[in-house]
Amino acid sequence: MFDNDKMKLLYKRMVVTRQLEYGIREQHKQGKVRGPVHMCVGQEATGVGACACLNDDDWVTSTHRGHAHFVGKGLDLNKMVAEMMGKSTGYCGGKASHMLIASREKGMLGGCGIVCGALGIGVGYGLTFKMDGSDRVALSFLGDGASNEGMFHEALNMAALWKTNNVIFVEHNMYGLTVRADRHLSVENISDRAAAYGIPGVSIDGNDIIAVIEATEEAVARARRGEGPTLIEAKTYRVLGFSTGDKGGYQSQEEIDSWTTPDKDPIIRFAKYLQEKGICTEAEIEELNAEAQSDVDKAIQFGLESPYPDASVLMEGIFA
Amino acid sequence: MVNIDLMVLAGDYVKTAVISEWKVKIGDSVKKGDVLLVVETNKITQDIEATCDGIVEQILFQEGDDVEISKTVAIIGDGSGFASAPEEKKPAIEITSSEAASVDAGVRTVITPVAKKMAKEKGIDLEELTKMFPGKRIGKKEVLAFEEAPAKEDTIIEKLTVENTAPVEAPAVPVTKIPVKGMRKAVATAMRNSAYSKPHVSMMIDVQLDEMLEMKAYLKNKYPEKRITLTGLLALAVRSALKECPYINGTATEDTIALSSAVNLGIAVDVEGGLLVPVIKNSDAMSGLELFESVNKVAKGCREGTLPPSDYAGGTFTISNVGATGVKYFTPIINSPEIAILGVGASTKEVVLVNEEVRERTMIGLSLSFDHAAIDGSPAGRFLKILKEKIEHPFMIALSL
Amino acid sequence: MSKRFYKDVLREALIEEMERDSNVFLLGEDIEVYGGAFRVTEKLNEMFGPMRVMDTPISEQAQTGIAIGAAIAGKRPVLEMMYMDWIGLTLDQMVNQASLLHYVYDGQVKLPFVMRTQGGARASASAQHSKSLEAWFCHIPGIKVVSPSTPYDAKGLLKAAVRDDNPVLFIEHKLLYGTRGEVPEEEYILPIGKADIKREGSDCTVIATSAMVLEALEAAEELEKEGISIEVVDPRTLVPFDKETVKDSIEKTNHAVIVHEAWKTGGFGGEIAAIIAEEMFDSLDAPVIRLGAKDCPIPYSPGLEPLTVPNKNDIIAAVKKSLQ
Repeated sequence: MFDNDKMKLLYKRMVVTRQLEYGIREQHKQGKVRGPVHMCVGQEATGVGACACLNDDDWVTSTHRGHAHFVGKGLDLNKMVAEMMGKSTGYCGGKASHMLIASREKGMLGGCGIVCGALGIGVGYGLTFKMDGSDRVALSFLGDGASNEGMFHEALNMAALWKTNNVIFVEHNMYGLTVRADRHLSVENISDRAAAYGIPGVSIDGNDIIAVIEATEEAVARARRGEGPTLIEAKTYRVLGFSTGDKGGYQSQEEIDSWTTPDKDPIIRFAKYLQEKGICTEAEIEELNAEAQSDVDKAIQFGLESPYPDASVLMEGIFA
Repeated sequence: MVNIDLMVLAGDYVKTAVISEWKVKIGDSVKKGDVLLVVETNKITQDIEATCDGIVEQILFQEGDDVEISKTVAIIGDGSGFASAPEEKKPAIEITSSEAASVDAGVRTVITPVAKKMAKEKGIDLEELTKMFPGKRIGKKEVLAFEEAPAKEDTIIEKLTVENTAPVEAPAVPVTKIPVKGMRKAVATAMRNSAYSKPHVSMMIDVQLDEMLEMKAYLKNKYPEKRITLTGLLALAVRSALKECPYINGTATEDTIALSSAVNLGIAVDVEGGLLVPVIKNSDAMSGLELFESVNKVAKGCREGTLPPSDYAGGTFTISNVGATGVKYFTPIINSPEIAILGVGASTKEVVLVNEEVRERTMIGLSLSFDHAAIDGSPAGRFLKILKEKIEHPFMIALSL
Repeated sequence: MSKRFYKDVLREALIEEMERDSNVFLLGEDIEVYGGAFRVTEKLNEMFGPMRVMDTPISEQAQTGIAIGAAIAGKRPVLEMMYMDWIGLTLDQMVNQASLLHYVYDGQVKLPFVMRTQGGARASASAQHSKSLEAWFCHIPGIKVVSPSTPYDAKGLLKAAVRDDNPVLFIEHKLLYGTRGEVPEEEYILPIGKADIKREGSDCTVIATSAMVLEALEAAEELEKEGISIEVVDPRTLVPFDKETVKDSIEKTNHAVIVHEAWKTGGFGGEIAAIIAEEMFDSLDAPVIRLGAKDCPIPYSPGLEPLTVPNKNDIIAAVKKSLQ
């Protein structure tokens, strides 16, 4: 487990993630953030926890619902929000959107709007790290829906075959778009699919950041040793629906409520853990909450005040 | 950029002039006053000068072209405007292929893009180009052929048609081909315009010349230094007859008959290569001797080419004397837009009956062609009758008011 | 200089580039032990070892993703896509990742990888093994598309493709592998994005790609006997397309015939014809003529297949039609 400072940082990151989602949702209603935005409220533990086990030069491929991954990998909040608003000060100069945020410096390479689209790329990273004889690791996030894509099968087969430096982290949030898992998955536990490739697969409580950290650390260590990929399936829940464009109605209020109780909510649970372990007092928790809110507010302000990119950059950078 | 317009001082009724010779080509440097081209009408030849210094950027018409007066024929600039076309006062170069004139009614002429571009660069009129190749698609080949063509129409079409079909046997007899250009073209155009726009009727009458010849002999004796010609004497009789018959002294177009109070007498003169008609203005205001002088002067000046263009304009009636050829009667073509023309034939000694007795007399044939759209046969005939009397009995001229 | 096989000089190019830069590695189906379905990678595994010449499972989508990832991470992979007919399986990775990540990540990543593939009919390989699908990729900004017709072009351009920092689709032709041509002994490289005039002429420009270049050259020989001189222009690269060379040729000849093996409808020839009509209209003395395969799936029978793709007689007829 990590030292206290890092644990506090992780807590703050979880709160930042959540406040960021609500903040962006508000900006979206006002038209400052456009296009569909995919929020990860309720899934803070997986992204923040898994990324905490990585160094800057370990690379991550993300999904369309990657804000917790971005925050977890230590990306600058200002540049993230600016990118979400399409401003020139964003991580990608406004060209990417919230789905395709990338930071080479922090090893976030990167957001991806195609379901399971980045998994092959992640295996490419892991293969390269292995070829170079380094112990760098590539961790790829994907969802339960993505585990049904052909790419999932193809990429895992090759990663397993070549024992690439990869961790495959499935955030099972119970829905593939609007279709609940029991109506799209042929198995209950996606981790069972690991056996098809001869690699270890483990299912964990994705709302328990400690469990996330423990499983990820083990998988990362294994990869660093050159023993190949591990499949982690983290069970969690998507509280806010698919995207800002989701008209809802397929996630019953009952179901949502059952996942947001204090013993299910990942932030409340971690706050409790930190206090029980004596790492934080209640006041410090409050302080971290306030700081998180303030950071998000500042970032939103930064984004609002930043300019749009100049028309002259439109045709630049198509080819290297 | 300066447009050089065809300003030809040839009078009210000269609508077009023929370009007989370009003195410059595209790219030449010219000074103000340099002669750029020479044009001819059926009445005059005139130099068109540069109105400024510069470089000839565009030449919009070719030698042999009939050009409307005041149209732009060339453009002088600073040398940068070779590719661009002149503005509003442009000839038919603006015609796109879909509007290009087609010879066959309803057949659209296609001009390929490269052909259009070449035509524009070479200053070739698209209308002329398509006229040369009726019904054919105009491509690069046709533009090049047009460029090389010395003359228009039939000779070129013949030449290309022969090239494009199966080989034909060459004609057995050598043929001399003369391009219709210059004065020939000017006269041709004028004759066609007159003949095709005025319904010509010709009336012939025989006239006894004896008394007039006596008059001529007397005058020659009295004024030995003066040149008294038959044409001069006839002019005396004609102007008197015209004053009595004002309905035949003037001009006529499709819409208007303009009868003149002055008798502006045109005297047809044979010149090298063609026919010119200088006009004696206000001949009815002159004395007889002045009239004889004028007749001599215009004939001489015309042959020498010293008459100003204005001397060919404004005629109300023309006399054309072909007597030198021996021809008695003919059907002269009216000097359009005039109403009538008097043709004078050769005089011959003949035997006639006078008071039932056989006598020798000098007879001359007069042929009057008139525009039947403007006047009718009876009035025309009456004029001839009056004229005959004035020639046969010259003292009747003195009786006129 | 010596006459060498198209497939052999491709192999030479790979060897030279792999020796020059240790980041270059090969992956694809049957390339390692077997030496490639068309023998292009023969014995390279013995020369470079299993980390640089890698047989992959039959997983085209993931192969492409892995190549993309490896390229981002600093390698220069050359992925062999055995038949262009299967390139559909790679489309999502090419269209949604390879073509745009450099742009969308604002230059933070480069994707220097080559996808080598081959297509083409008249080999009785049947409908699912005979296609020419370059038009799909020409349409996507961010991917370079190269299609060499001769051994000389193939070697020089493959080397250029490997050294290019962008995704390059390198399209070979199953009937060209066995053709021979003069290739220098010493090393050389050719520029991507530059056309080549394979034969100079004056009456008509024939723009031909890949195997159709050979047909066009044969047509040129026959037309010469009738006094018609055609200029054969081989674009060599489809994207980015060399307009200047085409423009110079059409200004000279005023006539254009385009010929490719891909289906005529929606084929890249339509793009070339549109460029000519838009930018070279004033030089045309006749409409642009396109030749492509007949719009039907490619049938197997030797009695039918030869009727589908253009041949030299079609080119001759098109040239004559243009000139009439």
